[in-house]
Amino acid sequence: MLRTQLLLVLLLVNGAVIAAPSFSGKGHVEARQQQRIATAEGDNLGQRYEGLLEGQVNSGRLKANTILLGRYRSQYDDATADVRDEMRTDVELRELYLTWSADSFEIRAGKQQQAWGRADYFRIVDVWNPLDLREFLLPYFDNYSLGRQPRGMLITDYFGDTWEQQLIIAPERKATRLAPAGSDFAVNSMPANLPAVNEEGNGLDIGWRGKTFWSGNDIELYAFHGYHADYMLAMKNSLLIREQPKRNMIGTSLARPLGDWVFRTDAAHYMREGRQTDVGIKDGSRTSALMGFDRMKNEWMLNLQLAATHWYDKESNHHDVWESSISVDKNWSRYRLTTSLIWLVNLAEDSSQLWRATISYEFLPQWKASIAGVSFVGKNSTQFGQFDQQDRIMLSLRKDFSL
Amino acid sequence: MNILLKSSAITLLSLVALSAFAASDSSIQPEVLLEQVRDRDEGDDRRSRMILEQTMSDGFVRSRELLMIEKKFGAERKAVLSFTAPADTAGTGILMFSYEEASGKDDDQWLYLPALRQSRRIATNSKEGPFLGTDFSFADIERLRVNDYIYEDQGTVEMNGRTLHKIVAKTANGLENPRTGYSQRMVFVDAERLLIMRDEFYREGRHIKTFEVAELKDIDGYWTVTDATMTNHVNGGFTKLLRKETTYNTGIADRMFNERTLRSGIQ
Repeated sequence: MLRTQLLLVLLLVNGAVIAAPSFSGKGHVEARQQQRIATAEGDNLGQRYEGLLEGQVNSGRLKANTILLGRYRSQYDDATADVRDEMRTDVELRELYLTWSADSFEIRAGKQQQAWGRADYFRIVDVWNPLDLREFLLPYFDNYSLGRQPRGMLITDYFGDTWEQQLIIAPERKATRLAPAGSDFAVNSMPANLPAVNEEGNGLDIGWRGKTFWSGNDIELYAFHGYHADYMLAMKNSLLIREQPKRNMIGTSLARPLGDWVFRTDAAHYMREGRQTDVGIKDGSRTSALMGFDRMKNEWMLNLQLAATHWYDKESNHHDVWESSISVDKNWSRYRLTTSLIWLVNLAEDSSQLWRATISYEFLPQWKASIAGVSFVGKNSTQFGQFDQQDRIMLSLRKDFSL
Repeated sequence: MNILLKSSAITLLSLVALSAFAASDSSIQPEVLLEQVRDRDEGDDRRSRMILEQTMSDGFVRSRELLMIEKKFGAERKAVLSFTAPADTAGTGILMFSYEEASGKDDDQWLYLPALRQSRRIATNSKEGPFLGTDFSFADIERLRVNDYIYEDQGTVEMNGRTLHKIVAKTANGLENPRTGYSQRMVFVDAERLLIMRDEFYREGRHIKTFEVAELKDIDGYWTVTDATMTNHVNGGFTKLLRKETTYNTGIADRMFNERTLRSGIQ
């Protein structure tokens, strides 16, 4: 991080054009009442409040961006200390980064996000920002950027005539943030008392992306060397530990219109990819690919995706994983209504599903009221089925504002 | 908002290109004039601040502000729209490449949504849907396409002290054009200023919308529509398109027309 800051100072001193700075900002506040559905068990879900401030300062070639986020979940007021500390309140400087732009170059340094790939919901090549799964994927559905965890990165973009090239270095480890045992979305496979984290190794993630527009096609190539986003359990010196296994990946993306549709695809081969087994972490390799189709017409948007993952691991008899999603959005702009339906399916040994339906109404400019329902279906051992008791309805009131 | 923007894409500016005809005497060849309109000189580049103000039939007003840059690349034209207000839309951007009509290529368009932190490709084949939920459709604001209709010159009329050529545009089979959703248009052209001042849109014989220019300005030698309204006769309500702070030929760099500008916005 210190190196990053030094680099920024050098950029400032060495010719970054300093113009009169301008500021722009925006944000939102949201109050949400949550209720469990029917037979679902557990604590009263209570209220969830969220406030976000986003600011940008421009000064010629130099720009600073920041995002502050605060959340409060009343459900965890009476939880055990560990759960309360992790779940009740968030006050976070989510993003803070500087951007220096030249004619053909751009450098961004600081805590930030970088999305790779063309997929929604499924992360085939999107390896940089681990998810925050404390509320599973629910924040991610509302706003992808709030479901992901920003991290310290140095990103350099070169904009050539034909190819754009991007080099990313992330010097600090960052892992998927899981819900603690005792909270609604604690995953089945993690022990109640998490073992210590082992962070041996340099922890550096490094990656390259090349991007071009050729004959109506958006084409991207990727290469990544670093660490898996998830902690896995392993035995070391007779002690159970958590660690992020190493990961090497090459991938590609493509997107192009096909009549009224847009076709998009991500494909990646992970030459080295850790996987949790009964005896610890096992290095293997896998290939994942996704095909997606989007159709937009008269304020309808239909989105179809199918993804598959194959493991090259004869010993473990590991099943291929199939995932798919269908989402249908309709904007009834005349009535200031937006409706959305998302259906996610995961198929490994057994299938499981997630349903989410939302209706949103703008009753005053920048004021929205919405009602959303989420349902999980499947066996307790499956990806979505493990949260079968977490079906819920959420009533939200949101105000967006400018600064 | 997402879907509005996802389904959006296109050139607000070309609204201005909804405008220009060359013809001065009474016997005109509409196709030729429309080609001249389509290819009208709008400068090498242009930068504008624009406001889309939509008044719905129940009186609810929704206003959006954006910055827009455009540049000519030979017969191709590229544009970037960067939304600055209101807060739930700010940061959204649209990148558009419009090709020569003779090439037969559809526009290429990309949408950047801040919530995704990435740009999405947009299909541009069907343009009859509303642009950002307004009374303008994508077809209304795209670069003029001459081959969508066959034309008939109906002489001249006087309107607001100007002599305008009245031209009827119909589809060849009398049915809706599948791309635009219109079966007929009635176009009123100021031949001296090379601008469409009024445009009536019909579907299955029903007058559904009217576009009308309320204000023009000569900016840097280019006649520029600074205030225009699209009135919706089916759903009620109207949308005003206001163009502010327009500058021409300022040497906007080629490198501004890529996804980098979508992400960072127009400064």
